[in-house]
Amino acid sequence: MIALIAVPSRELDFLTEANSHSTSLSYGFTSGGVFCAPKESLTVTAFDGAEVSPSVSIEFECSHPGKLLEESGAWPVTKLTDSRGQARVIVYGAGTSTEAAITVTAKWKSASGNVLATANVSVELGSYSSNSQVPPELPPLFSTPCSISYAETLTWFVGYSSSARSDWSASGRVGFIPGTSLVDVLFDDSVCDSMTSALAFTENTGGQKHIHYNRFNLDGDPTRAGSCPPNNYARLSWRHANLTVANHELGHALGLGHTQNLESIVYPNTSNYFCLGVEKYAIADQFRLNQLYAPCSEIKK
Amino acid sequence: MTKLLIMLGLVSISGCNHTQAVATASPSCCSNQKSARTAELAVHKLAKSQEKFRIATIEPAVPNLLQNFCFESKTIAIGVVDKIHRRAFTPFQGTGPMQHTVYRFKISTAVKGPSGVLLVRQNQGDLPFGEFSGTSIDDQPRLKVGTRYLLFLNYAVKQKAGEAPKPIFGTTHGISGVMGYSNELLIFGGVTGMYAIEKGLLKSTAEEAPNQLQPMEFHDLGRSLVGLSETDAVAEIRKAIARMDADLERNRKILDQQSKGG
Repeated sequence: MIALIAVPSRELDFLTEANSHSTSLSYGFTSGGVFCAPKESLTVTAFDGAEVSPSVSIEFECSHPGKLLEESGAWPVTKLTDSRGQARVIVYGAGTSTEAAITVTAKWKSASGNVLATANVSVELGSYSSNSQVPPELPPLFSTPCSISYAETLTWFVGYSSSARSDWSASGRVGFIPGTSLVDVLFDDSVCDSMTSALAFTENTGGQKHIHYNRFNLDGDPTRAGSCPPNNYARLSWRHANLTVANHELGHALGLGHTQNLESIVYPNTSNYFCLGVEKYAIADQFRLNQLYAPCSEIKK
Repeated sequence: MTKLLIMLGLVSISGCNHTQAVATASPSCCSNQKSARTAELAVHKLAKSQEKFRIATIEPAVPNLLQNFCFESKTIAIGVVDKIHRRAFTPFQGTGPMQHTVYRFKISTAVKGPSGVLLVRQNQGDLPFGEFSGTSIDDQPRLKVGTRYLLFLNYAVKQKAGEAPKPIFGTTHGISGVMGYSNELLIFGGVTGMYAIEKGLLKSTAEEAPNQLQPMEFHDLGRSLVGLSETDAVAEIRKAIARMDADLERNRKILDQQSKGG
């Protein structure tokens, strides 16, 4: 018989995102004195009102030779990723109270595949309620968020900048139209600054949002017209996340500050791209955007 | 492999006497330094209540192994920020939000790289412009004069060993000019490369607010460096450097064998 042990290691707590809550969970099981632990740590994310995945399969690693273990269970989750730490449950929701629980079924198999034992465990993660019934009132960042005017002084980053506007428009909360003077967002790739490691930056104060791409660190072609001076020496490894960089900066312009969530496009560095392949806004970013702007479909009505 | 890794990093300047390098800055910088001093005086005349201009950046990915983090840091040292060396706009003749502060970092323990005195640069500052009293960058805490730090540092541009510091040119906000000097180092990895030391323990320089990025938990260490004693942190860093050296040596031997076999 397997004894499955599941221990929530942290109480529900607020995470980076407004109105989100998290808890950490460490679990494993013992059989005949052998302790098995999940091979990878997991992040479990649940969104109120979202459809949940009925089950997940996790590989376990234990020190029992010649045995293979399979595990599956019903989780209130939409997504599982490696969080590089303990298992973590994040529940997003504003003005709600939800109970979160994880049910795990572990099957202990012999090398030939026969099921030797099965164990179930249900872990109550506790309940939470939002600290605010209504999403916080924020000053409108743009008077017409579904038709944010923009202008570009771009020579080589045009494609990425355009893709970023398309990606964010797909959120249904913002839209962009080209403007001529006094635009809301200005895109520029003329910065050539070798004395910073920043790939790009957004001037975040004042009315107009000014996005700068630092071509010294992003542009790999010193022969391109108008490129940086001959001391061009950007690190090669920095030049692979251009779409992530473009979407990140436009996220800032839209009002999203940095977050510790590695899945987010506004994670402070490009580890989100290199670890998880993040190139555009995540569900958590959409949640934050939803608090800032009404749906464009409603505004158009 | 080794060659590629070296290409991805910065050229080591071991052997360069940094104390001298600080004292022998290029003469062409003198007028700029004078205007920087004038601008610095203007800081004190400005009301402190004014708001700082905020800039949000995206930085390069940070290695999640301490051995790789140490490898990519060309200088790792413990010391004290003893004074501000320069406050200036970027480039020097600029007048807007792009500005920088260069600090003098007096090393007491050189874990990797040279000892002596280094110049550490942060691209934010206190020079007034318009209605703002300076510029701050999100998630990049400022160095504080008088504080003891463990810093992971890199030079921004290539510099040959023993070479006198040279002005670095660039463009921002449509203004081209001298952005700084080749002997100025940048902190590598944001808050992961910058620890204050208080009562012998390493402390995160990030704010404790929930949305603040905290120092990386390194996979090969199983934790971040925060909370370690200064002695333990130095020991772990030296072990990580030794692991990386062993990995590189092993890779070099494999490549040698492959080339001989081929």
